[in-house]
Amino acid sequence: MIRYIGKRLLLMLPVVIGVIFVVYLIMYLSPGDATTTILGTSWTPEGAEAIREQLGLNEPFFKQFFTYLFHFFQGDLGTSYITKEAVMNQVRISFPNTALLVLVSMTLAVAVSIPIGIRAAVKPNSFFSAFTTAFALVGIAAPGFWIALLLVLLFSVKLGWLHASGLESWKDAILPSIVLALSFMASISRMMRSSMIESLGMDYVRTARAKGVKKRRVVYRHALGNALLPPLTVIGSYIGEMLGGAVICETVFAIPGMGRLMVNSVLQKDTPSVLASVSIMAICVAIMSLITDLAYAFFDPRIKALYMRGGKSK
Amino acid sequence: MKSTPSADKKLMSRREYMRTYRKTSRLKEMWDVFVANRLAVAGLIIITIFLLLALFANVIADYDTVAIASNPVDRFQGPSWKHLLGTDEMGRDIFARIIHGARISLRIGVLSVLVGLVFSCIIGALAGYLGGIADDIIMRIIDIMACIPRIVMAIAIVAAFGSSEFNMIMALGIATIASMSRVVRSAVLSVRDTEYVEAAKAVGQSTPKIIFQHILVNCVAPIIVQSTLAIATNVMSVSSLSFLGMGIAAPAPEWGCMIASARGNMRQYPFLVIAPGMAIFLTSMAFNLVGDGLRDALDPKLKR
Amino acid sequence: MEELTNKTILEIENLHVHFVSKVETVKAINGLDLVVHKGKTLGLVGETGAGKTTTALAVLNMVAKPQGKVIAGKITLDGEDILSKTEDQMESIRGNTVSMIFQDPMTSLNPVMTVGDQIAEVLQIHKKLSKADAAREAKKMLETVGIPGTRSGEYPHQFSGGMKQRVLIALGLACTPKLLIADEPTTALDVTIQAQVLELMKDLKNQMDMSMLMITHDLGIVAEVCDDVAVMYAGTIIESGTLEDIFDRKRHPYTEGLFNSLPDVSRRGQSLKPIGGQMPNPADLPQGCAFHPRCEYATEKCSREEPPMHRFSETHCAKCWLYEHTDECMLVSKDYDPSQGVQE
Repeated sequence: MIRYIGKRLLLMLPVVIGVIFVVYLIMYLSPGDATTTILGTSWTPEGAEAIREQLGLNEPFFKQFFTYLFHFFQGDLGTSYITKEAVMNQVRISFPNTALLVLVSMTLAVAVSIPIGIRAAVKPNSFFSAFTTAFALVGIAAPGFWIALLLVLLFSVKLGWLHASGLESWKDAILPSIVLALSFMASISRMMRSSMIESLGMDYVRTARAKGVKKRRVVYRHALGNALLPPLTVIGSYIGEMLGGAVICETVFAIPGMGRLMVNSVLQKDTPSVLASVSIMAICVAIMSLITDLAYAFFDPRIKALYMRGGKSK
Repeated sequence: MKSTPSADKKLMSRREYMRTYRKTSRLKEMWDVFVANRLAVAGLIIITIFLLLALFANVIADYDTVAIASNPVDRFQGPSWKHLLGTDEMGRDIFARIIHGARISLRIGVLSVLVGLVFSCIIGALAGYLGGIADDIIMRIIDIMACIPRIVMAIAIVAAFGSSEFNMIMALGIATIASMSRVVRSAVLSVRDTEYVEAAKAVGQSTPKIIFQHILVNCVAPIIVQSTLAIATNVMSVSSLSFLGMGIAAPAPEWGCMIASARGNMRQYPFLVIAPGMAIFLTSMAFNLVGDGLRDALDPKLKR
Repeated sequence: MEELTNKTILEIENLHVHFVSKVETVKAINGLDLVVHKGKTLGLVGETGAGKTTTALAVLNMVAKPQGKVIAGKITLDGEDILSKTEDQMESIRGNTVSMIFQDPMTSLNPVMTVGDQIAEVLQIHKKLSKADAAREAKKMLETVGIPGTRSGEYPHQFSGGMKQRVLIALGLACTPKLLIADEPTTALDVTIQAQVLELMKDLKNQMDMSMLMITHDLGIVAEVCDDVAVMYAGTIIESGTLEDIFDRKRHPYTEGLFNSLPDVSRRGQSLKPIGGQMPNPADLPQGCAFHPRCEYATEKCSREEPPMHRFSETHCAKCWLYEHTDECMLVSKDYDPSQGVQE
């Protein structure tokens, strides 16, 4: 198992490099000129040339890329064009906020949607099940920023319970977490419901019932034990979607996180910050998908056996 | 154990007979399943309404004079016969802006999915059909792309190349490739190893004929379903990007844009935020409903 | 048949099960009568879709709930009226008085539980054993079916198909039920494994003094393990009797058809005679005898009225209009086997 984890970690390296490459390429191909951003109104041809020389922008693409990569792995993410501050410092401030937001929302989404999904599957023709389906539809189809504004209207404007923006106390995290969790609650509960319905129709559930296992135990031990696996695999892939949602959420609620850092840097053409924020988010996704893979192996003896033997997944 | 069609006919119900001997009845049957799903029909009706409104937007309300030109005298009007949904902070008719916004959203939503679909079909079909090392390499690249969240990818592309409508279509299209090509690939894979493809190979059918007649035809169902759902996602992404100020720019009547510019007056006039949001929500929900309905209708495995 | 009640373990009378959906009503079981005698094995024979599995599930009171409905009938298991039981009461009967072995061993075991735990579970429920005792008992059960007890900590995917079926048998027999229902227990297995599994079941049945309801479409298995046979068609029994009644003195055209579709070394020259056509759609059963559209003896009357059950002897009866006025065998193939005497 440990050897397998090590192998997977090693395999992640090319993915990380690939991600940085893709982002770097996109930024490199963009038609803008960094010097105009850096110098602003004080732009002169000579000053621009000096900066190009200093940043190595005259070097060939691959040399630039590998220099960047080399620095990236040493923790040097470059200097912001706008604030002239090390990007690493910006990340250090932003990252914990985003991580907190995403983790709280993920926990909330999982904690709420899995019981809902199970309940809806066990009683497929009930009002509760219909309500869940409707709720899931709203969660999936309503854009996050709109929901965010509506909740702000309700809770801060009408009721005055919570702040509309900022992140000063834990209370300020409530609204953003709910907004971010909502669409994932919808997807996970929907998935849990269908996975559970499928599982309840399987032969082994019939076997369990035929041997006289109590209905509760059939549902929670036999059916659930298997039904949890598919949602578990997607939770990892939702981390990506969630970071995307965080970008919007942080902007609406003015939370100083990675998403807002990225959006602001994009708007100000601050390439080093864009590069760093996008790459770091992508690396988080890669790490999370590795963790879900391992969790999956831990819960499913068939996959675990495959790994124990040192086999390859699929 | 072979029995003649005429002998079978006697024992079959009409429906079974139609199913077995009439090709056209399969489409009819799919349609029946789809229509039986009331939510899917509701979705289809909503889409049709939005499409018609978008199509005749210029007939209903002139773009330049009603949807764009500001009219300070008429600011913040409530709903009336003259302004069905009232007016906004610049005195523009909200209903007119929403139906012109539908044009933008539907156009970008559908075209971006088409762009994504073309790339995904090529990538997914190649990976699935070739298998082996080619498959490995292609899928590793897709893995890398999948690590970048969709909206982040779109933002990065739009940021780099500018937020023209063409760039948005390309950005959102490219952002769908990662998930869509996986769907295509797994559809191709699931069909490639089926007995009927083996059988087609065994009787010596040519490879192109196999790909077109057996593999692609049987992949159409999941691809159509996935595309419909992707339109819903992209319609939302268009407005999200515009809301963040990275998509269609004001004063264009893009839904996300409308919400962004109404935000300042949200406390006094919440309707300005609610109305365009409803439009996004309804469109996206409609495509989701139709997608789910299509999944049930096209995929006989999931029936009942 | 009333006088036999104390010797029967299972009695089904006039059972009707329908599956109702928005589109159609599937009449899966239509007036089925069935008796399993104590200590005997009854073979329930019929084509796929005849309603064999539904019958078995009805005995466990496990007909799929929202759509499946038991319309009429009475099921008496070990003197108890099954259909009037609550779900709680049924839970203590299932796996205890009666247990069932399902058709597909590959999918019938829970993939995320060890086989030992799955067997121990049934012991904990019915025998109220402690966890450790149940685990020990489960190991013993595994050994009874020929699997080393040391493998009880393994997961189903680590076993072969035949082994999984043995595990299922161990599971079914763990609480020494009075009736074991085996639903095509060997269909998914290789022929050599089939023989082993059948032999095992036969032995254990005798050891534990059980009765068995063997559901199959394989007449070879029937000949091998069964004492009595009931032939099922479109949700009803069309002929039943002892093994000899059915194999040597068959009366119903459908039973004849079943035997004629079997290859037989001694008749290699002749071509097989399959039954033409297909099972009728249970949502749309023909009028009269359900078999008449495929029956070569069918008369006009067969398409109008359903035939009554005609009794030939204490044990043997068949549902066919051919015997309205006679007990004589009316089938053309009655004398293809010289060893088989006409004893009426």
